[in-house]
Amino acid sequence: MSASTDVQLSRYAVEDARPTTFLERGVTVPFTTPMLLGSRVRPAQRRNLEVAIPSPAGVRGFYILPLQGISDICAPTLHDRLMLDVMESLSTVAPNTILRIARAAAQEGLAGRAAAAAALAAERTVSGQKTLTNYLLLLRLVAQLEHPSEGRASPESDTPADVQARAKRAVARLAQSLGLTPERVFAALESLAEAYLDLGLPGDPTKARYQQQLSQIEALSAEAASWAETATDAHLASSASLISRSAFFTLNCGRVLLVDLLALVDDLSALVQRWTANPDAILAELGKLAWLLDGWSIIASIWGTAEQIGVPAAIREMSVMVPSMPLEVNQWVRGPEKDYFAEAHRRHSRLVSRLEEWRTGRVLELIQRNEMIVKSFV
Amino acid sequence: MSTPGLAHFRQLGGALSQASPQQLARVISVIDALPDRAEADTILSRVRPRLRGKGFPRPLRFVRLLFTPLDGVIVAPMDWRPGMITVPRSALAPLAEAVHRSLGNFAERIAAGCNGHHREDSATVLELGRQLWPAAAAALPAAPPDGWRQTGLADSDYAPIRASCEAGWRHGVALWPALRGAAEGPPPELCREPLMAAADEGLQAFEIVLRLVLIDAACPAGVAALAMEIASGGGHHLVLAAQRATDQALAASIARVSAARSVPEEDKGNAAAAAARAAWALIEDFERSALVGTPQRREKLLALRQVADEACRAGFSETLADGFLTPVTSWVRNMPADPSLEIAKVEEAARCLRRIEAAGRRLGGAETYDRALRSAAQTVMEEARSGGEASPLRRADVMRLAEILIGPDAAERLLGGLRPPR
Repeated sequence: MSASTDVQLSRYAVEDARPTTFLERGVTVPFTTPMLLGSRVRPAQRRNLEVAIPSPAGVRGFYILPLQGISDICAPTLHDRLMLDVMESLSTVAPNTILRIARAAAQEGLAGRAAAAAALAAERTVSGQKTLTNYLLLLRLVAQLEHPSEGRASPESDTPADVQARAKRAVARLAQSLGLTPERVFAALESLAEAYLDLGLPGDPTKARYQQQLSQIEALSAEAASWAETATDAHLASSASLISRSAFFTLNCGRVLLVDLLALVDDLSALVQRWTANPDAILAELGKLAWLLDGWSIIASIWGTAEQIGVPAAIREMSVMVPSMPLEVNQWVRGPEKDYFAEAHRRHSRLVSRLEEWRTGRVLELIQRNEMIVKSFV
Repeated sequence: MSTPGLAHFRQLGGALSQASPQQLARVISVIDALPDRAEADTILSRVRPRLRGKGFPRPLRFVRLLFTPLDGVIVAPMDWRPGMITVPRSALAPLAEAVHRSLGNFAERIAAGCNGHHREDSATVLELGRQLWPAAAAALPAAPPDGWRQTGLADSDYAPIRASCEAGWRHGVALWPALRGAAEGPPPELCREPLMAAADEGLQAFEIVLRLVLIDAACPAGVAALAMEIASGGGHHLVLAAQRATDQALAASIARVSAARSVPEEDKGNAAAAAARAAWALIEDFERSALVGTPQRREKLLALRQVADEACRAGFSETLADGFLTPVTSWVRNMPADPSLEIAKVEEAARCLRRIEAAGRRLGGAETYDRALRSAAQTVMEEARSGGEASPLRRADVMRLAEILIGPDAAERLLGGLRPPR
């Protein structure tokens, strides 16, 4: 190819290949088929889903195809066939949809008994967590609506019977001020408790899914950075560094979002009013953290099980899965500097080659490892 | 002549060679704590091949650190003959004492540095070895040291043994990355520097360094080819040495694959799978190499293929019978206390079968493996069906086992679809 042709072609290079929205980026599915791990599904043009498979041929880029086309390029595991079966009926997708499907599929047992038990335990925890979150919201409502002149003790230190009575009064007050029935307010609080389940509340951060994920990402960022510092292979060091910096950037965005979302419960009157007027808008707002963190739990699990396939192989695999940050993040988060991430990702994406292990006869080990990833995902 | 004492040691050594890894680890920890281990070494001689690369934690001592780079050429006294470049184990103690005496306080400091560390702690070994090995290479006396006669070796054996040790120590630091990278080949870039330095030094150094690099190499033919390339610039005697090393590597590979069959292991399935994979890696490495063009080497390669084929078949049959079919067919009579744990073990055995099959089918008999795997999947299905409620196997367990054994497409066909037929 002549130099002049090179120059002409360079004019068509895509300078910023980042997706515009998080929906366009898609949602990561915890597939167990080695070739499919890290794939993302997103709505296609014809009211169904398509899948973007990272680096299927070991080179840069994604392979995008309809869900039904997956069996043309590989033999999915039985667990993945079950997931695909359910996903085929969907026209749109969100992180919570995939989480629900993954839990249901894992409970069928095709990713192993350990993953099935984890999925079942997660569902049981959700139910307990929902009750607790609802209770905590009621305590907050009491604290926010009782006038200081009433001179009551804090609801946390009160007896259960008194708390119940105070909660009823608070709900009645709120219902009156918003022109709603108390039943409607109770129902709104119940729905909000469900919506806050994975975010947690300021007083109960430990069990909430996305707060746990932020901690995981923080640890991953630090560990990958320290691995990069001591790596002798420059290519791998660059990959580990990309993972670390991307994780750090996501963590910073996630923290800003979390603070904003948790702040909403500081004024439950306004939140309940907004919820009763337009619950979908609140759900969309609360769902932002899930979209932002999507994909990182799988990357963190690969890191957690890196010894199984070897740390260099894990780094290579993780670096291909590092999610591009959609431009939409600029509207969601104010503060963290974004541009370095795009640059680093673009520079790095010219270098990566993905996971030779599944092409070199280690498929069974990788499927087993991926089943452990499913176990922690659900 | 066998004294009653020696006979007793041999008997103990024989018993130890049949011990499980856990029992072996316990015995070794007791022996390592002995102040004088000369006699205990006789017992260990039978199990030394099993100790290599098994990761049994051995305390780091001055003698062990000193001879770490030479580990691959240390042989049992009975296997050593004059003229060999290897080092008889019985010579280690007097040689180490001589080095220690010659280095004085420096040796004391190194010995103190070993305290509390294990041989597996490679950073410490390298840190201390970097100081000790070059110093030791110039520390041995010209005449046999005290205690040499008690080893049963002649005075005339001292000079060649000393020369081997000195070559190993001189190149120990440069060799270290290649020795550590043995499981990955070792990669040629790790071998080039020590081989070139040894070739510049002369025949004996070249032979000893090459032998050390080859001893645990997962892909010895690649190393031998590099040695040949380096030797070709250094004269005919080096080329002959590289050719000898290639022949030895082929013969050692056959012995290595053969020996892996008779090793008693707690986790037989995984051991057989690892052995099958290693055997195939060796064969692939030699088959790729231009060095095995001669009829004699082709013959040895065929022998290697045959030994590997037999080892794969034997490992497959044992794993299938003991690790898979025996538990699966016993569950109907004896419901396991922890079904999930037992099923996980059988799944692991199934994965081992597939790993062995992946290596074995390339050596021949692909249809036999396929038939055996299909039949095993069929057995699982029938056991679950006939056991009904008495069997711990649920439909998902059967599907998973079938999927591991025969792949997802065949498993789906065998079970009539993902979901139970209505």
